[in-house]
Amino acid sequence: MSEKLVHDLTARLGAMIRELSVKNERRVYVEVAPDDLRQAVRVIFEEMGARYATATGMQVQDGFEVLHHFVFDSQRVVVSLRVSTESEEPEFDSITPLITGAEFIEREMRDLLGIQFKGHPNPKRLILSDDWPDDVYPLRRGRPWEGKVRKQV
Amino acid sequence: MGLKLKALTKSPWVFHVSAGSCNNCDIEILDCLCPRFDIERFGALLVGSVRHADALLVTGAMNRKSAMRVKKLYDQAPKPCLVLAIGTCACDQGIFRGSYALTTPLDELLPGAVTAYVPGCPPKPEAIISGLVKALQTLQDK
Amino acid sequence: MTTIVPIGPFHPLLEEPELFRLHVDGETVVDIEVEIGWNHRGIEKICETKTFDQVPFVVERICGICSACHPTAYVQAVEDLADIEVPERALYIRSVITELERLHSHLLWLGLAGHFLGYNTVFMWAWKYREPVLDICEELTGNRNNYAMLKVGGVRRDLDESLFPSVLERMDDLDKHLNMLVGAVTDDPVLHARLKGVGILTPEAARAYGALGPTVRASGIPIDVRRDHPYAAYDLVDWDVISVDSCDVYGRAVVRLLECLESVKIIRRCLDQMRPGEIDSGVKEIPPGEGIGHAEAPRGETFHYVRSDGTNRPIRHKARAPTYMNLPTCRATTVGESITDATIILASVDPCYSCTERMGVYDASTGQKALDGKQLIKLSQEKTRQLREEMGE
Ligand code: SF4
Repeated sequence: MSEKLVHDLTARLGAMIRELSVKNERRVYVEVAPDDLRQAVRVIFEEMGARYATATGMQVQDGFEVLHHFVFDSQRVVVSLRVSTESEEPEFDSITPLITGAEFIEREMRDLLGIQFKGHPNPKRLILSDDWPDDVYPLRRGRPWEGKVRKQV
Repeated sequence: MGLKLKALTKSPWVFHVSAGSCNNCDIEILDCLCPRFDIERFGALLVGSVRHADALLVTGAMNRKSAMRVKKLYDQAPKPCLVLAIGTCACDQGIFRGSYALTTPLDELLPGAVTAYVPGCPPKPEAIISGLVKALQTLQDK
Repeated sequence: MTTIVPIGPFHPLLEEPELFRLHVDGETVVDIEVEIGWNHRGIEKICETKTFDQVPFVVERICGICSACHPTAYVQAVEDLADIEVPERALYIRSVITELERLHSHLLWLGLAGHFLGYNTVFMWAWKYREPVLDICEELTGNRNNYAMLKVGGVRRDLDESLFPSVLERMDDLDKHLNMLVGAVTDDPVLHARLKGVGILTPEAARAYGALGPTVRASGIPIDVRRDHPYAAYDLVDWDVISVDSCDVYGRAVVRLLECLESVKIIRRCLDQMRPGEIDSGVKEIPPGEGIGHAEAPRGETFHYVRSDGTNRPIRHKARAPTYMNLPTCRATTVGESITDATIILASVDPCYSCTERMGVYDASTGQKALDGKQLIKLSQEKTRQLREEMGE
């Protein structure tokens, strides 16, 4: 299933691809440079017609990573577009201007991991409570909130 | 037992508060109202405003954003007001205990107010009804 | 003058209930904002502290009504990560459980939709027919919800074949009742007047928002994870994807109702084709790597991503519920509609009842509460009553 799609992806993304790995028939992971993210998303979402599923942000050994998951329903493949940075203050381009459906997940990553998204139309807090301190990101390694969050009662 | 209490035990009006639950408990509460379990045969009625309520049915693990509202709601309810902790989450935060998004458990949030604990994940509608009946009995002794 | 109408905040369908703020000009909705986070429990972080075998118990508590779909997506993610083959009988069992869940979830939605429209009979009936489904769940798995059936590499318990005849019998009953409900909904002129052409979600908007499940299938985009990315036993039995292209609330209701009939079909065929055999492939170790799993929940696709570093706990687990994508579509569907229709439009993506029960209308100038949730539902019910009178019912 995925051969034709991988072929198509390599042809269209070309030099933008930093790494492409085919995990199995149904899963493909592509890494691009943060600067190429918007262009790559445009190709996959607009030109190739994928459905945007969601994104996963995470803190890795050195720095941060964001995976945007795209689903090709007719070809039975999930393509995950990876961007990473080694910075301690991660910032990526927002893809919400291209895909409306990405608004929530980018705000969520900003809340929980402290990843900023350049060009997000509505960068407000999404799921943490209003009394949560601004610089504590619960999904970062360990238990970063300990000793920093006020008891409510 | 005064007339007021007597009336209350005959027809307890319940208000349902959900604060960080997985909604299974909430659905089981609603299920109690439906034809099979029909909690209305005990005179219990689900009301839309806490100011009319005799009993609060609280579900969920007390999320930081909603726990304060539970406290506010309890303050607004006319007393005596029974508080039932429905589900393991409301009883002791269950599987979510220790999470960053939660605050103090219900019985610390409303010290001394919880009348009955109905454990279970989710508790069966029978258990919820039995919890309500037992909670009403505590009033009868007064 | 614009009035702001907050609806919410409680909505327990996913991790996060939400608060809608409707901006209303006279009778018309001009803008809508959504705020979520009222039910956030930090499940993704909790999962990092549990072993791979414990996580299914946590993820089934993401949402009570998707308590088979989330674990299915999770175990599939781990199976994808570690290349695990699942025995065939386990696949059938997974399908049976998820379809039972879809049945009771859609019936629940139908009942609540009926309530919002002022058809309390539909509410009581739908919930009455839902009970036998829950009974079957209890008999087969031991609990009415939160079944604890799924496990990486298979299922935790086998189904007792001696129960099948009685299950099939109740499926026949349910089939009859469902057909009656389908007839009642499709023949009712008042429902047509109330639901047709209301809350339009165009296919373009659906794609931009990434809408899922019945919400998008009613907009003429027939995507269904069960068919497009077959898992469990969905490619082993025969069934159809339901899709209509009316793009409105009516379409969403019809899709859900007809899907119930398909679910009955799938359950019957699965029970019929199931052969005795292994139910677990005995997974010992999870290697380092990453995996993705998705499954079709009653409301759309649930999506899970798991990463492992070779220890016995995931280092990252991401879960996305379908309403997360469906909810923002409310901006496309409610703006321009009348406030009396807002309840049913918001309910039509099936975001569960709790939010709608706690609606309130606030006047922007004074900040005073002008209407509360009950009154809003009353408004909606009143409109149905008037329509009925006009039609001389
Ligand atoms: S006790 Fe169980 S069923 Fe009830 S809200 Fe908590 S997790 Fe859900």
